[in-house]
Amino acid sequence: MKHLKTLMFSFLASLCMAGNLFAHHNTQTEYGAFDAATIVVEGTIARVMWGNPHVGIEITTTGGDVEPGKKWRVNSHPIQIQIDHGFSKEEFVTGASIKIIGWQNLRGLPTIWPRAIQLGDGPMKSNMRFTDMIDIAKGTFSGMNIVAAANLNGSPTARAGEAYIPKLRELGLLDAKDNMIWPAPKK
Amino acid sequence: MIRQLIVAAIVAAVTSVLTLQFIKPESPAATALAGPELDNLAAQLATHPSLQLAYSPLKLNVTQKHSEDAWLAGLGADGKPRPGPADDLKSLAPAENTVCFLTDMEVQHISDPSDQLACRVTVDEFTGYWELHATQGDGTDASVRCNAMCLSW
Repeated sequence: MKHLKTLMFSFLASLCMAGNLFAHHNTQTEYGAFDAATIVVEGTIARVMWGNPHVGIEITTTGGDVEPGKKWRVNSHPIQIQIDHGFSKEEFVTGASIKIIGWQNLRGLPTIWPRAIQLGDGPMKSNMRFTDMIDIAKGTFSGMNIVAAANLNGSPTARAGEAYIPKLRELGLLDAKDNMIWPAPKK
Repeated sequence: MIRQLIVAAIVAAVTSVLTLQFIKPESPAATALAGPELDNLAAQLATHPSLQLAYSPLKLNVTQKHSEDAWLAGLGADGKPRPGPADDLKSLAPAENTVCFLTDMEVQHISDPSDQLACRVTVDEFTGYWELHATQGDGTDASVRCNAMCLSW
């Protein structure tokens, strides 16, 4: 028994010492690419953590693509970027209904990064300006009934991906610095 | 009935031999347990489902570290300070069949006793999941990185 304890302690200690201290923080490594397939999660807000570096929301699911009655966590932007996308702290009320289009954690955990958020009977608002750019370039955005991110206009387009920039340029949606012009100029 | 008795006897015999391998022959306890009483106990263990369940060995698996550290940088990529308070968290695993523990902690740019940084592994009461937290105290621009692993059964 003594040997077993020693072995277990050695094993745990070696695990504690192992490994690389540095990795690069990247939301896409946890939730997939900006143009990956999304799921829909509907629920009721149980708790709001309006803080940095990520606004967090805990919800009890009521439907969508997931089983009702489950406990999910929504991870989103830092406070200022959340505000820049067009959201305010006051909109997220405990007990209110919420519908999220987003990317589930790649390891299958019950966590989601929102592509767009609908609160109560309000509009489905974009939570990802770069995905707006992608969907606009693909021609699918207008059919999604999503209100574009409040900070879409003037946003740099590089993070949307090089593949989509020529199409956005062709649509006349980029300025001289390849920043996004939105809403689309009237022709 | 006869078949059950034979199977029980074989299991009892094997269990007895294995048990005696781990008990010193000169031990009084071994002497006391050896013989029919030990055979009887071994037979019960071999045939009673609840005892088998209770004494079956725990199978532990260890997870990989989280793909991303929980981290907070005191300076942004633009070189501007990003002071706390802040709490970066990563969901790890359901607490019902796992135990998680810190594997990595690194702090940088601590220059003052008021620079408060922490790594924590806790269970979130709402989701029931283990969570890894990297925490930056109020006003500090020091940096912290944390990671964790879990044992599941």
